[in-house]
Amino acid sequence: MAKSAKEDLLQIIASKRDELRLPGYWENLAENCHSWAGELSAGPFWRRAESDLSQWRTEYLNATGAILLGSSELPPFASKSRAGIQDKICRNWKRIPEFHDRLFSPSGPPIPNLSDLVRTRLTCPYIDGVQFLANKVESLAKECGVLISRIPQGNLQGYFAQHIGIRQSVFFRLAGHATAAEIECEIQIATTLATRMWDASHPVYETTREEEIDSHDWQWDPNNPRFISNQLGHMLHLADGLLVQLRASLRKQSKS
Amino acid sequence: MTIETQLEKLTTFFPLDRLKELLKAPLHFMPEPPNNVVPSLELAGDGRVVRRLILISERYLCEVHLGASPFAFDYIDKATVKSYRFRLWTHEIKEGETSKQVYHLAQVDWVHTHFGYVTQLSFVGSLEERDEWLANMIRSMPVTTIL
Repeated sequence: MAKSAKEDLLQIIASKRDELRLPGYWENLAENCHSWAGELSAGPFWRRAESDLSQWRTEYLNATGAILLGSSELPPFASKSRAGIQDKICRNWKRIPEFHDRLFSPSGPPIPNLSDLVRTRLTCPYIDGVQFLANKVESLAKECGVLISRIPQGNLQGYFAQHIGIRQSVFFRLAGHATAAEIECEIQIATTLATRMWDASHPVYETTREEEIDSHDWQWDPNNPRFISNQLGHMLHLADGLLVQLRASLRKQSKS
Repeated sequence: MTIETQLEKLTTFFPLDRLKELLKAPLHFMPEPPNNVVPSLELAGDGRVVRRLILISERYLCEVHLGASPFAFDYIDKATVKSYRFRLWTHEIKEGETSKQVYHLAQVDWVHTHFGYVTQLSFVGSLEERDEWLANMIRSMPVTTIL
């Protein structure tokens, strides 16, 4: 296998925790994340959300006349792959100097401090459903004592979603030993259009986000894939808003 | 020691039949029969695992990625190895202040002249096991290979 710049950088990052030099560390971390995703999906918080979902659906339907979620049930949590974890760590390491010190806690198991080692995405047909569902999930997380944060995401690149961070108690398994730890998991809530946009534009984002890109490089270049994907992200956000307005005016009309 | 005998030593990690099945294609395409096998051991959640095997013949190195999906293996000219790099260290697994286990580790890099390619092998185990693994490796791929 050819040695890459990423591997060189990972060697530098390994100075933060000795365990990163252990043969199999990254593979084992990814396997642990996979187990945690399964545990969280079957755990009390997500089961409770699942059982409250029908009530949330009814409440939203009564208020708007629309369906809350595209799927019949809540999706399970998924874990980041080994390459996905390494890429995100390398990217943040290069971009954010403060990240160097907060990537690993000096004690406890060697789990990188990333908010989305385990994550799931809820897709709502309407943009006000995103807000509604984020409120419900946030309240439930607060009630269960697992809420870390709620961040409404919206950026120049046209990415729009609500991210809710929750904490999960886990065991980090290495060489037959299990050490208790706490990780942050991410629940992303977005519209169907925004999710489609994300799925379609992700390859563009993946290939270019390694470099620091000045917005002037793409904002005036209609042939740049970022021009299309970023502007389309904003257009679809606008379309999501217009859909809600249209739905509301039609509902008003049918009532009168 | 025959290949068969060397593979039998790996039955702690893989049933022999499964191992033979996995090695069928790499052995079939190898232009000459291998004389030696070197396993690359890593730590996993439940203990040690063999993720890769290096089959060594007179002129070829064949790296078999046992756990990869899809199953993968490749061949490279043994004569392209021009540097032999060793890293030996120990790692202590602790629970709080209590030491649960001490592992003796090794990482060996065979650096090729082609495009910065590196054949990387690792080992995790006791000191005696590591000595045995290193001895097997040196026997299979003497340092003089780089000359």
